[in-house]
Amino acid sequence: MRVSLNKIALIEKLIFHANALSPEEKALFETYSILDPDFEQEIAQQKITMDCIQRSGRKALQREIRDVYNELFHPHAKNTLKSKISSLFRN
Amino acid sequence: MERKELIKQWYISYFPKVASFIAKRGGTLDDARDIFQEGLIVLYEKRNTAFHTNEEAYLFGVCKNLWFKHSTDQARFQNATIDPGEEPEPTVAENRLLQLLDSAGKKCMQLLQRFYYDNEKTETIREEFGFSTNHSTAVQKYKCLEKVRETVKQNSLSYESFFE
Repeated sequence: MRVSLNKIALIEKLIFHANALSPEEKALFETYSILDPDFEQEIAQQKITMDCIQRSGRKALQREIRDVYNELFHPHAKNTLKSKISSLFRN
Repeated sequence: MERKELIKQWYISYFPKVASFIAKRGGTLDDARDIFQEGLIVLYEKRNTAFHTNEEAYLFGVCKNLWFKHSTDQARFQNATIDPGEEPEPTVAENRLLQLLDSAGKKCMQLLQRFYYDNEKTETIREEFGFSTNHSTAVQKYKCLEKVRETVKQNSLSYESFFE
């Protein structure tokens, strides 16, 4: 793997499993921290990226959950679930 | 099981109990729908991590809490009207987010979501996306991550400015 990708992999581990870094990874992390002035910023940028992915993942799931509901409860849909739920809110 | 099918099964198996609970307490079908859908998000995000208990009991507990919170909020803001069917306008930060994600391409985003949102195993993702080895799957993941991160960098986005 390219050096830059290895660095991304290291930061990923740092974000999610900081306690599970091997001695080599710890040494590498310390080396980057001391010698690479951009390292800290790269960590921050990767955290933003992770948040983006998780937020967009949640949005996609929300859409899917709504779509399934709209399908099951479509005005023309006929199924046991729809009848059961509708009977609960009849009054 | 495909995710859509899983969600459908959750509606069929668990929605009646939650809806009945809400109906008995004077809630509407829209209330039941919104609370159940929020509950499903929690169930989905926690299913591989925090709990190993009964799925139905967990979801019911989450929905009960959401209902109590909803009732308290409603009592507090009795005069406020909210149209639940209306999607809120996307904020500037959200638009920026979408722009950012588009830059990585749809395939890349799907791959990254499978890893970081669905917490899916590399093996499963490898099969799903047709990669030959787990290593090549991981390499592709890091390439995609690099692409999105580069956009973050180019836009000089700070954490605070991004999620204002």
